[in-house]
Amino acid sequence: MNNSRFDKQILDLSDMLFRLARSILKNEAEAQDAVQDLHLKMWEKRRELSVVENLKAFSMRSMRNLCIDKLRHYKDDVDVESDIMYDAPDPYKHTEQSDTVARIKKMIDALPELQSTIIRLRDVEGFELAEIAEITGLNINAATVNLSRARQKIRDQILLENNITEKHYGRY
Amino acid sequence: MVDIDNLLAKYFNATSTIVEEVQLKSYFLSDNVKEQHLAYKSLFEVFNDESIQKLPHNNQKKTIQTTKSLLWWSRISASGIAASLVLGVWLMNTNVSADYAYVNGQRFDKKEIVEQLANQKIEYVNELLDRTLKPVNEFSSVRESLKPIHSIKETDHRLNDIKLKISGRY
Repeated sequence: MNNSRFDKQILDLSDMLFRLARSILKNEAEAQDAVQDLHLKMWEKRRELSVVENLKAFSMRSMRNLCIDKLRHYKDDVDVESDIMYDAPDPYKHTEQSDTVARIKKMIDALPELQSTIIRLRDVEGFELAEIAEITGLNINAATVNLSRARQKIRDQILLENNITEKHYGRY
Repeated sequence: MVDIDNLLAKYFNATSTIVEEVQLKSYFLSDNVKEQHLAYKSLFEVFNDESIQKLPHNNQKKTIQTTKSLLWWSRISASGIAASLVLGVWLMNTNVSADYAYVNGQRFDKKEIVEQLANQKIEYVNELLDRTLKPVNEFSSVRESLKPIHSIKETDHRLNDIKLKISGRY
């Protein structure tokens, strides 16, 4: 792969790679570094890239692996696959968290890394389930199950919040 | 007319297609969301917000430049390392070449043997010099031996002086 083709095919994915890195690392600066690291690694292996069928999925999978490695390196004691529980808002603090969008972002971030990555790959980036399976190293069924679980968890939390709101404010 | 409830059910079961999800998104991002669906509006807004976020432009430039400059530096470093290796190998070869010598057309790798041969040559040259300088030494010894003969003249002069003194008295 020559210089211009690399610029076109890999550097064009920068935004998508950055979004994925930020969603996993939850830190903008580290996500930018991750994008840079990945570009460098891919440039070094640019000759091998010409045989890759789905470069977009390959790049995303490489980015996910890189981010997980970084997380393991930075936080040896933290299990990246573990469930991080989303704290349902305290009714009395509800007014402080009035931004629903921010709360939903928090809910997605609180999902296990695999589920939050899958829901973002589908609902933010628009990947097909087969591509999601390739990126995450799962089979299509497992990817579908994880997507379904992630969406249902978010739905349950949204409904829970609405019930709390209903009780607290008694508006409905 | 799109059945949003049905699409939502498929969406949460992850059985909806990309096209159906696009329909859902466009519905929830519009201003025509029904009250019973409002709870999910923010969810699709979150996805929409995230999908338009970009790598900071300066950083993108920096990324490309840094990537290229890193690559440039890595190339320079690699060239430097390669040059050092070549130089090292060359120096090693030079050192190796200093450890052999040709004596009378024959190659000797052992330093001790070369030194031994050199000492033998030096001894041979010394012997030659000794032999050549022997007549010179003999000449000097002759000179020493002739010293008394040279002193005969002085003795003769003294005798003449004595003779003159004696003849002057008588």
